[in-house]
Amino acid sequence: MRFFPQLSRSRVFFLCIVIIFAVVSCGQSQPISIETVDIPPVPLEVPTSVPTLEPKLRDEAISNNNDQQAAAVSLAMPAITAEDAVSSIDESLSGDSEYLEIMWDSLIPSDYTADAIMAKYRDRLVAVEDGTDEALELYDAMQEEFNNAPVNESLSQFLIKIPGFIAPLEYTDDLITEFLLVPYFGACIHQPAPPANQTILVKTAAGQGIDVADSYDPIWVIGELKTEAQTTELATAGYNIADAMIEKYTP
Amino acid sequence: MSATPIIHLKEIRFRWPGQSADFLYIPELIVNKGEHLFIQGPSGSGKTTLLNLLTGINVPRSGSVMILDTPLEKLTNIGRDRFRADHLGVIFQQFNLLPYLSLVENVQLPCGFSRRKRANAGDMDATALRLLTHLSIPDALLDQPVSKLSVGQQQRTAVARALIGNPEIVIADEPTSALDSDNRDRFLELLFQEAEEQESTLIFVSHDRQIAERFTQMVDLTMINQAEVAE
Amino acid sequence: MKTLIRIVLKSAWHRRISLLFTILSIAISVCLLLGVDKIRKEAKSSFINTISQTDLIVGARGGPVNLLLYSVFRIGNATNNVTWESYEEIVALDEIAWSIPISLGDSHRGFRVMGTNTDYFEYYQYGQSQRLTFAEGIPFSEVYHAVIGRDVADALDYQLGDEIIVAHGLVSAEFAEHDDKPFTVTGVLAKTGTPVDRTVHVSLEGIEAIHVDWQGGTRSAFQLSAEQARNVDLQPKAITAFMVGLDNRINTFRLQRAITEYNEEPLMAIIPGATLAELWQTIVVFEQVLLVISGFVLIAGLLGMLTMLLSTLNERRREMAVLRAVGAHPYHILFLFVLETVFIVFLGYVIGMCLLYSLLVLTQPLLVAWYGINITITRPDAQQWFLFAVVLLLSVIVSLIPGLIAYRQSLQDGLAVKV
Repeated sequence: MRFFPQLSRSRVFFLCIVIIFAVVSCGQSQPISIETVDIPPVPLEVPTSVPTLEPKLRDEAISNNNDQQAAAVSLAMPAITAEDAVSSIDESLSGDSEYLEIMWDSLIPSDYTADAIMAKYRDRLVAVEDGTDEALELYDAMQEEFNNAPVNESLSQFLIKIPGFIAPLEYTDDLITEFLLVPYFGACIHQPAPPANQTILVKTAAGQGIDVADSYDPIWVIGELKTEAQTTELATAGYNIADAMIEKYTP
Repeated sequence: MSATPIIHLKEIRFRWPGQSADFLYIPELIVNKGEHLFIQGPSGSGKTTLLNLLTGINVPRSGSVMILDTPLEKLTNIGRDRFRADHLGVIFQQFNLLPYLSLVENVQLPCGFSRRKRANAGDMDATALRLLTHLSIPDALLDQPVSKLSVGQQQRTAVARALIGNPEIVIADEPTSALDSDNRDRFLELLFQEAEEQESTLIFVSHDRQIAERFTQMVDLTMINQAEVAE
Repeated sequence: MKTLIRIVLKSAWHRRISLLFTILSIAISVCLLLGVDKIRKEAKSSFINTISQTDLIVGARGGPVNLLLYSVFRIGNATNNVTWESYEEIVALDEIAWSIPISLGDSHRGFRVMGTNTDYFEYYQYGQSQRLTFAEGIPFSEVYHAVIGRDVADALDYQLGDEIIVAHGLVSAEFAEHDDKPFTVTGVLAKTGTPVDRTVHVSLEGIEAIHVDWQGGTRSAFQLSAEQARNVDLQPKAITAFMVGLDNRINTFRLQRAITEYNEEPLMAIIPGATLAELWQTIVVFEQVLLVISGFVLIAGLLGMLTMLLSTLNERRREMAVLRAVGAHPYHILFLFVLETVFIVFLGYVIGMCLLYSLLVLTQPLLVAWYGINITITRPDAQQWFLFAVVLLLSVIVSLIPGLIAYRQSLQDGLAVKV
């Protein structure tokens, strides 16, 4: 008490404001603060160069048909092929990150990209009239191929960092510790369901997980990508990441 | 009693905030050690203000307040409060005691705010009891709550509190104004007795001229206060 | 310092009657706030731990949350059934590793009766991949056998071998009971902390048997005895829903889509983990509203305390003058108010916590018996200690209001209180 400074009124007011400010700013970083959870009213899409494929394919096919051009179909952004992925590893590894940051289209093998499938079917598409049953069958077939495309084995055992939305599967101690990672929000609600090579089965590392309250938010997943072409006794087919680290998604 | 000035006020000017003229102007006031000074003045003449200056509650606009060779006006707020805690004892007109403390705790209160008084008091319980007995507080009342005491007994307890720890100066602000004449006389007798025993200087403020004769010194505030009467 | 603390304590004791009510009001608001926090955490845990390692739940097309609620939580009802043919055709798909058919609709003295087969005991998991275990007895092996959950056994004091009557529909009434076909308890499941504890499990054939002579919800004219019913073809024609486990979880979406597009019957498949999250997101808004309300109640308690302090300020001016006279500085006066307020709030908080814990201890068995909600009584977590600190800080801020007023008053009054 002997070392208390003289308390003038103005100093006390200043002290009050500082205290209130401290309480308020502390409160905002605590879980107990009252923040409303924003459920996005519209499905969000993480930036990917593979938007919903069907309308795009059709539009391109129609324009191709009409124009009778053999021009290459280009999508919003060029797809990264496996070779590109490999060659950019050096760049990534030489930087700060130990992992390779990839986008969802890297998970599609090069001969099963939208481009490639379009190329395969071009001749048949050109020969068919738009709007007929045969045309629809062709589109369905193309979609089937796209949906059933195999995994991109060249990415096997790469340490990757990939953004996505989750469909929770298992909980541990109130955290989501096993989930399916997909490129867009609401995979289990919205159509179309993502194909197998656009889905990653993720198990989080010990202590990591996602709070149920955050289950609608996009996240970064960091871990070693395991690719299996077939289900065997030892492994299940598709993309898997075990012991994944989770980070909140920031662009 | 040797004439050593224990209080020396010089060229004190004081006004309340917002006043255009000085409310109090005292060119000089000297009180010697051991004196019993009676300050007389009607209400509103500035008695309380003078007491506030003497106890360090307020600081004069100009002039010096030397108490025990310490210039009070140069101390900080805390310094003055501490000075008052260490060297002064104060008695009010009424409501001197804290209702939630026992008699003994009330008497010992100043020792909680002053190390010097605490050291002087030694065995605090014994000292407090001694003072209370000297001031004719019956033993039976010692455990009672403050509300059970008569006004006279409360005032006398206040004297005990003001004297514990041997403060050099005791200041009393109209302490007898709420007492009947018998109680008043007894109060004064005991006050003088104790003050002399501890060699404390006593400053007694009152409007009651009758008791002035009992004092060694008397000062009429309206005389020494040279401030022009403000409208 | 010691003197000040003594003064605060003695002064508070002197005014203990009025302080008591202030402390109580703070205690109650703290109890409410902590209680709401506790319940939401418990509810969340209970919810999340109900089902595990199940990839899809399939039922008649309708609301996904509704399907989750009735199939897993035994809350609510299905709007439609799933035919046995559809069930068999779907589970014949390669991707499916196992399946559990379930049939709901009946009850026994307030507990729901679920028809299923022995695959349920083998494949159903909850919590962290925990399987069901039997505390006593064995699964059903016969038409009129039943396996009951722990809470059913405890609440109704059932032993192995007891006979129970199943009622038609969710509420028992004598005219709606299948009283000619009693079931025998052959097993009691170990406690799971999930709605399994509150369920009476019978075979699908058992459900068929008791409904064989019922039509449209009432007994038909032709009555069959239990024995006769046993010999009728008890192959179920429809079930309420079924649970499915896949060989490879990657195929979840594809299979979900296939079931949704199944054109023999309008069906729907949900991913339990995802639907749980969806359900929780809806509830989260309510829990936050509840928290806000509790927060306001606490603030009301603090404001009440502030009112009390302010109203006593005038009376205490003389006290302050006495303290000033013996050498107290105005900030000592301020400090007295801060100390006293913190003391009151601290006491109120501690009493509130004790109140909450006693309430929890008292109501824990009741909540389990009536609602199947399991409350674990744990020590306060980091969040709640932080709340404690925040409340104390708030009390300091609140105390500054009367404190500063008293500070100024004591400066002005000096030794002479003009009251």
